[in-house]
Amino acid sequence: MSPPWVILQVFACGWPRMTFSIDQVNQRTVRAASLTPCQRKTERDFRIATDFRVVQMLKHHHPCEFHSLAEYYHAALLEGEPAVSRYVPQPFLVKIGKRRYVPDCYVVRDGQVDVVELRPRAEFDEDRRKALETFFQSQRMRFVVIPNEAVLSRATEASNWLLILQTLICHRELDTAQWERELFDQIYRSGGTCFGDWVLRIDRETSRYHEVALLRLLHTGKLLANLTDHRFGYDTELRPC
Amino acid sequence: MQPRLAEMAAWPSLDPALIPKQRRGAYLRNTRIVSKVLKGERLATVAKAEGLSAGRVTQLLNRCLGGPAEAPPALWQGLVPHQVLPTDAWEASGRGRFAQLLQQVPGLRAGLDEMLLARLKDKPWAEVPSPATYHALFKNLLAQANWPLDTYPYTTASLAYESVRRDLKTRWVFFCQARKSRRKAFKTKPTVSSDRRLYDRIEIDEQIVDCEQSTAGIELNVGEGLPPLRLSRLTLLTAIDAATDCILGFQLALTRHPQQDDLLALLQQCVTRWPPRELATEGLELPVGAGFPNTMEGLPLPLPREIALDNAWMHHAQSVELFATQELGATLSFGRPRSPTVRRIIETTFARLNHRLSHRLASTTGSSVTDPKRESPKNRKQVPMMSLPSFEDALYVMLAETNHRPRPHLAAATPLDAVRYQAGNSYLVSVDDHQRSLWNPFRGLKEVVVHDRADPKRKPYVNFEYLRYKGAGLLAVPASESKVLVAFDRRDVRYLEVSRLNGQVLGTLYCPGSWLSHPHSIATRRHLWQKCRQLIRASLDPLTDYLHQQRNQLNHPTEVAQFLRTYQEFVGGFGLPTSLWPRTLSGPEGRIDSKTTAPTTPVPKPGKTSGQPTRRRYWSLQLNPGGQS
Repeated sequence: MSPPWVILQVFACGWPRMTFSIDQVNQRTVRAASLTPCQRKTERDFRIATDFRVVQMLKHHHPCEFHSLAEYYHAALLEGEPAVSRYVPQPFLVKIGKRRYVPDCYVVRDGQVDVVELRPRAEFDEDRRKALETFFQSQRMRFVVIPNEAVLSRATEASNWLLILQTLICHRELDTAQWERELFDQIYRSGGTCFGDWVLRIDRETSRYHEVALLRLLHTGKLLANLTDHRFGYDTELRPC
Repeated sequence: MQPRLAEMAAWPSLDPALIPKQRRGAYLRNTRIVSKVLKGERLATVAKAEGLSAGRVTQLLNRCLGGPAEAPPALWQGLVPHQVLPTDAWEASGRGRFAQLLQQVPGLRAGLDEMLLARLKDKPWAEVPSPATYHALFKNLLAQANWPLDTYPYTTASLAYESVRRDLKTRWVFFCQARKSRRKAFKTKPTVSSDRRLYDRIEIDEQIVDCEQSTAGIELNVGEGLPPLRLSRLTLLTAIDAATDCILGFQLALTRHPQQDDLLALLQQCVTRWPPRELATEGLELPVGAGFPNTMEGLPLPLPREIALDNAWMHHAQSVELFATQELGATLSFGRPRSPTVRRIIETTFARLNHRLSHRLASTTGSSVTDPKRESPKNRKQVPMMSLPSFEDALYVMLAETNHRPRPHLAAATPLDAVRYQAGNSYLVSVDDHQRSLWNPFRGLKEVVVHDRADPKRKPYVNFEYLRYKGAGLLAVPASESKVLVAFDRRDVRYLEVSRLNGQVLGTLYCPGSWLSHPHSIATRRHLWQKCRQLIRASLDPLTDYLHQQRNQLNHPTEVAQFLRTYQEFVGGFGLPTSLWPRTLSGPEGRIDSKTTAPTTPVPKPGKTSGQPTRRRYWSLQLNPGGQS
């Protein structure tokens, strides 16, 4: 490996600019004051510099803040993944040398912790990636870089989950445990059903318990539906897991 | 001139139909002029008949029949308006020399480009390009290259100034376009429009209305009536559904600087049911049927999935965020900075509003200071003819009509038809009416410390927005707890609902009696304590005195609007149009009028108002265990 060097470039204007070798990044240490995942509040200036979104989700108990559309859809897709028990956007601050870095998401999937970074075409500085992978591996976590394109290509599915989530959030206090048991038994016996069979288009209030119970079953993974191609609606087929 | 060309019939023919339609009229007029002159009429006579100057007639003749001796005259081509004619032969022979120069002189092209690129990249050493500076650099580069002094451009008097100027213009446009094509701005919509359904995305924005109104016709209960005065420009907040172009509600804020409360009022208006507004202005009529979804029983009330806003600070307010995310379950989307086209529908709505209403009034400001529609200085000295109540009615009718106007992209359906159709065919997020009735965007919660609980001679209190609030309920707070939760309404912070951290309700807390005279918002109280502290110290009723102080300072349209906004808040009509302002004052005994007789009379505490039964107050835990008096 070539030794680190410093190049001085002098431009026509007369201003010097220092260029450091990127190899030095490897030698810098990754540090974190705390790895307890707790969403870091987005700074005021950063809120207006990004494609900022705020929304309440179910697997994260405080309003989630996202800095891009890909992060937003990624969280929606995590909501629809029964294996994911919890996630935290912008979970903690780590320092790579002198640079501050906040990962995009902290995901707990089947007991395994993933620290996720979303980047266009998964382009992430190789040295920083190696440093972070080594650091998180020592903490029994896995550092993953996901391409934005992989998330955005599932826009319909993410949008459907956001639709379902909003209904569930608006009816957080509705107790549907009994309805969930009964509906699941019936659907399990029949092998499948249509969402519109239980939810009345004209009188939604009357079938509210059915509606919320079905969506909760879908969210917990006890029911399955094809959400990848079409918008969720009365015609969507539900089948037991 | 050749003698045969004196007859226009001898000119080679040119079909007028080949000339663009917008230039054809001028072409035919030019033909008529030249024809008359060639027939022998006097230049001055022809010019007068056609409404031109004699010089212009001469210029036309020169264009069609003049020119260099060695070149044929332009004839018909010279009569075509804006037609660029070939210039003299010397200039024609010199064409291309500048381009050749740029190729021959080493470093000239690169040096000139470097100046423009530095500016485009916003380098700290960059110079603002102008024809003069660009030409100076051009000469400097030529000198650095030791270009011989006996060749072009030194052979011209201007040193190719015009060529340099044109080169600057061309290269600047070229670099700007190249930069734009490289930058992929995120201006696309998050979902495909065909997938978007009703209430999937609601766009909200504000615009300062492009016209001014007067206070004529506004009934106030402050001393003598308000004379007709000019109001400053107000702000219109509008919400529109992106899928159907349906306007869901609007809010006219009586200020140029709306705050979070105005946005909350708009959200409340959109998501709750309202009766159709009664119009007081003669000649205005609402279209048949509902004007907005929230005024018609059969249509679903909005429950937006995504609320698209821009990056104004009031949009980032915590109260807005809490209501949108916790109550509505919606996504607040602020978009990328400086990307108004992402919210093109709401921007189009404002353009439509200007076109159909605000730019039609004589008191309009137009779109800019140079807009010819702008109100004349003569009329600006007078009070505008359009009063605020009439403008509110006109705005209501105009926006309602917009919802009834067929749209091409909706297959000739109106926005309300599209709402009706999608409501019946798409699965929408909805909540029960009871739950909807509990929504109050102005409601806030705060954890505060209870003070003075150990001193038996004093009553416990909490600090909230510069004042001490007291009430019997604080006696019920256990000694082990030092904090309580207070719930408040942002529009009226005279009273607080207090509860323990475990949710046990303890009753109501009251602010000092001197602040009970009128409903007032958090913003007003903060303003008074931060900007009018002298008034607070001198007065026993700061709210009434503040209102009268504003009433006596109506010298500027902004002050008139500020007074009306304060009055609107003090009568409990925040967020309502002038026609719906309560006629009876909300304060005890209509305290605004009492200023004329007793300006600084202290306000009696609640329960001690004469004529009302005295409310029992308990200051003992034994008598009042739950704080319920």
